[in-house]
Parts: sequence; structure tokens; C-alpha cells
Amino acid sequence: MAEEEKVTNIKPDLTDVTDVTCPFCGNLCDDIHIKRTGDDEAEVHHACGVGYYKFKKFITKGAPRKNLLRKKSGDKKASDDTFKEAKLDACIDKAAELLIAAKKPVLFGWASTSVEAIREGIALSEEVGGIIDQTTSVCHGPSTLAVQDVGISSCTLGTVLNHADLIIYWGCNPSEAHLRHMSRYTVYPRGAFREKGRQDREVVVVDVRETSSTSVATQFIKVDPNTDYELVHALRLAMKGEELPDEIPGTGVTKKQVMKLAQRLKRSKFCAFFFGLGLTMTRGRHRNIDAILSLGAELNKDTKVVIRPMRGHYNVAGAAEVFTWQTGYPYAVDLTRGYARYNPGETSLVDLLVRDDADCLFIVASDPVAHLPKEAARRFGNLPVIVIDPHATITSKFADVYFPCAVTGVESEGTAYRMDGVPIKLKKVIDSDLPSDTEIVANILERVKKKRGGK
Amino acid sequence: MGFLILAPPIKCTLVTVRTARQGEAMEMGKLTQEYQEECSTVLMDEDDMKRLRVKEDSIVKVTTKTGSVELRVRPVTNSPGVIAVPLGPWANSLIPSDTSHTGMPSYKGIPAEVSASMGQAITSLDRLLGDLYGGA
Repeated sequence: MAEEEKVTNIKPDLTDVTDVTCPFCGNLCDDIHIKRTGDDEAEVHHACGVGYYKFKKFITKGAPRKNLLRKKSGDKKASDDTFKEAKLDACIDKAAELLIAAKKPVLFGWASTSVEAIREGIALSEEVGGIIDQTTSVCHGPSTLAVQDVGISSCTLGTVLNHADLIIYWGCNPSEAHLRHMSRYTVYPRGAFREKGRQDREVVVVDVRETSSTSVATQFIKVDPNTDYELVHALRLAMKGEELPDEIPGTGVTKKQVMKLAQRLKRSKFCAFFFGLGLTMTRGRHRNIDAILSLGAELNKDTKVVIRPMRGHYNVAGAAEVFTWQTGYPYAVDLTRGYARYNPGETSLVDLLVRDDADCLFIVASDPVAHLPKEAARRFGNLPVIVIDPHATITSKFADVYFPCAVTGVESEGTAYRMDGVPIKLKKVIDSDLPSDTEIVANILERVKKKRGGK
Repeated sequence: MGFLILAPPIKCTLVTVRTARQGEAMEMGKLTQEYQEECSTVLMDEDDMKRLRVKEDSIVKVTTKTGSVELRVRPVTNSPGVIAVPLGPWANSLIPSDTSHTGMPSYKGIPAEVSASMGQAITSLDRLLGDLYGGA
């Protein structure tokens, strides 16, 4: 047994739970087994390293998590003594007051909680006339823009497992970011039509650097940073039989490498493209994805090609689903005018912060101060901030009101969407005396309505 | 008496990345030592490190148009001209906020310069956050 499976100092009421879904990345592995092995011991089976630490943190005994209020409004010094412990009701009251006072609150996060919490969040945004955005705006937002422009040929990961004989990872590193993607869905498992597993599949990795994923590849193409767009177009030309120069200009890739990949694509019976933030976060952004999706559409004339973004947060796909059901748009939705507007670049979090165009920040299940560019993160230092998160985070250091909540998928149930759009139930592993974020957001919504007297 | 001769800075391209260790440490807690150690690391090609005359765990200064931070260097192979910094507050100090009207800043593909640092320590998290508390 791997050392990483063992957990000691566990909470007394933990029991054996099987088929647990891991609430970390878009893989949503639903085969985790939390096994009680003794009075004070348990084991976490099947999880990757990240999943192991996720479960370990919340099934072991730890210091109680408290609701916090800033003692003096606007005093944003780092030290913990500027906070005071407060009752849940007082925190709900303060959060409602801050939201009502704001003219343009931004409600951000949502990708690491359940669709039920997101539903409440959209209702709250509508009630307070705010902008609701989710983490995809700094993740696969450009992929969404490209899919809206070009369309996507797609399938579930189960179909990839059973059919794919060529797997392409472009601008992503699943060995570090989606640790069980290769072993559970793509490269290694045996499928109905790929009975020999890895031996029945070829793997191509395109990246700007050598990573642990490239060591798995049948072919690794090292492309110069910011030149993926040019490389995809060279590949499109090669597939059409056009002549290429010996070196693809600016990319650091040779004609020989491109032709080799083109031949692989031509002879494959079912190719699954997975692309990551190496395409969405570099020069070209959504145009890079446009190019990949267009290549996919062309290839589908000769073979079968499916394309999927490697979604990061475990329910980022679900957030887009719920946003779209409720408002018509998948992220960056402006409800300040009483109807939904969508204009990424204007109504997305980073742009709002950099323009200083928000006057209250409501953050659920996300840590933007830890992940946004400094110029955007700086606004957290001078705006009212409300944070709902199971962990104390770097963003919660900037909060005026902080609500710890039960961790969805460990301490409370819910539903999440896997990266391929398949909804999966999140189980409760252990009880918590904290409310879920769904309950907290719903309570704040009720309080806002009550304070406004039903207006 | 010896003289310290620093190698000239190296121009390279910065990408911010997820590492498995960063993911694990994030789940342990972002205020833990494990998280701060991993996120204050820069992964650099071993030949580039030789050119810069630095060894594993040396402190180097990474500078972009947006800012600069001092990080601990760790060698990787076959990635000349590309440096990687795990997602986190240190990387954030180096990332421009312009989104080209898409909502997405350039977290990858940023022109950067790495130089050997005279300093003995990484830029501290307190210092990075201290820059944010005053607001803009």
C-alpha cells in the first residue's frame, strides 16, 4: 500500500464509503474508496495525490472553522487581529447589507461547488443586480468563445476510452494537472475496441517544454511559445496536401514532424484531441482554439475526430451549464440592467477589476487573489469582499465577511459536471456542523429580499 | 579576496503552470509552507542554469514588464529558453493584466529575463500581499 493512502487522526464518525467522487479536477473520478481501518486510521484508495490531500484534510480532526467579520470596516491589514469571530446570522446580515449597498457587485467563483449552489448564486445576482462570472473567464473562457464561433465535435470520455486509437494532448500536461486522465479515460485503459489498452493507441503531445506527460508520447512536438496558431495552420495545409517549407516559420517545428503527425491523423480511425491552457492563455487565445476546432471539422471528412478542452475545476463545466440554463450565457453575465448581457472583455472579472468597475466582491469557492494578475488582485485591498469557502484562503485574508462552509463532495452532497458534460453525484463522506455554500447563499438571498421588504 | 562575477541575464519566455506538488500543497492549505515553497519555485532548463552560473536551489530574479520576484530555481531538461512558475502569488506578480478584450490575461508566453540574484531569500508572501493591502 502506498504511504499516501494512509490517514491517521481521523474524525470519530467516519465510516467506510465507496464510489466517492473526488471534487478536485474535471476528471471527477468516481471510484474513490474511503476505508476505515482502525480506531484512528483510515485509507484513501484510488485517489491521485491531490485527491488524497483533499480528503485527508477534511476527514481528520482539525481546528474548528469560524465565521469571521472585519472588526472595523475598510481596515484591510493582513493581521488576523483585525477579524472577530461572529455568529452565522450576523455574517449573513452583513453580507446582505454590503450587497444591497453596492451598485455593481461582482459574484465570482462557482466552479468548485455544486450546481445547486450555482443556481442560488444566479438568483442572488439577479436580485442584487450584479455581474456573475465564473473561473472559466481565466481558464477556458477563450475555448467557449471559439466553440460559439466554430462549433465542436465532441463525445464523452467513455467513448474515447472504447474507441480512440490516437490521443493528442496539445498545450496541456495531464500528468500534473489531471493526474488520472491518462489512466482512467484515454491512454492506458482497455476499451471495447481497444482491447490491448496502451498498445492499441498512439499518443502525441504538443507543448512548449518537456513535461512528465511528454515521456508517455509516441511523438512529442516541441513548439516555440506563442506559435501554436501557426503550427495548427501548417497542419491544416499538410492535411490538404499543400507544400510546406522545411521549417515551419517561427514555430521551431520541422516539415518532417508535421507530416508525421498528418500521417498519423490520416490513418487513425478515431482521434481524440485534448487541449489545455497552453492554447487559451497564450497569444491568439480563442483564435488558437478556432484553428484546432476548424482542423477537427476538416478531419471529420476523412476520419472520426473529437475535441475536448481539459477543464480544470471539478464543476467548471457544470457552472457553464447552469449559467446557460438560467441566463442564456456561460460566464461573465451582467445582470445590472435587469436583463442578461454577455461581453467577455467588459463583463469578465479581470477587466472589471482593472477598470475599477466593481464596488463589491462576492467570492464563492475560489481564490482569485492567489490566481489573478497583481494589478487585478490589488482591488481586493480596497473593496468590500465577502468570501464563502471551506478553507481559509489568500482571498479570505482580504474579506470583510468570511463564511467557512461544508466541503461539497466531502461534507455535503451535490451534483457536478465532468469535463465531458456528464453530470455526476457528489457524495457526503462525513457530517459537518457547518452549512453548505448552497445554504449560505440561499440564506443571504432571503435576507436581501427581507431587508428590501420584497421590493 | 574573491570577486563574485555574475553571468549576464538570460532572456526567456515565462509560462505559468500547474504542478502536481502545487495541486497537493494547495489542498493542504495556501498558507502552508509546502504551498509557499512550491509556488516560489522557477523551473529552468539545466543548460540555461549553467549559462547563468546558478545551481539547484539558488535564488534567481525573474523580471517581466509587470514586475519582478526572487524565486528558487529547479532544473528541468530539454526546455531551453522557457521558464515555468507554478500558479500562485509569485507568478501573479509577473503577469500582465491586459486581456485583449477576451477576459483572459496572458498567463503564458510572457517575455521575461532571469538573472542570478545577490539576495539570499525568495520574495516573501507577506511582502507580495503587503503590496495589495493598500489598494490601487
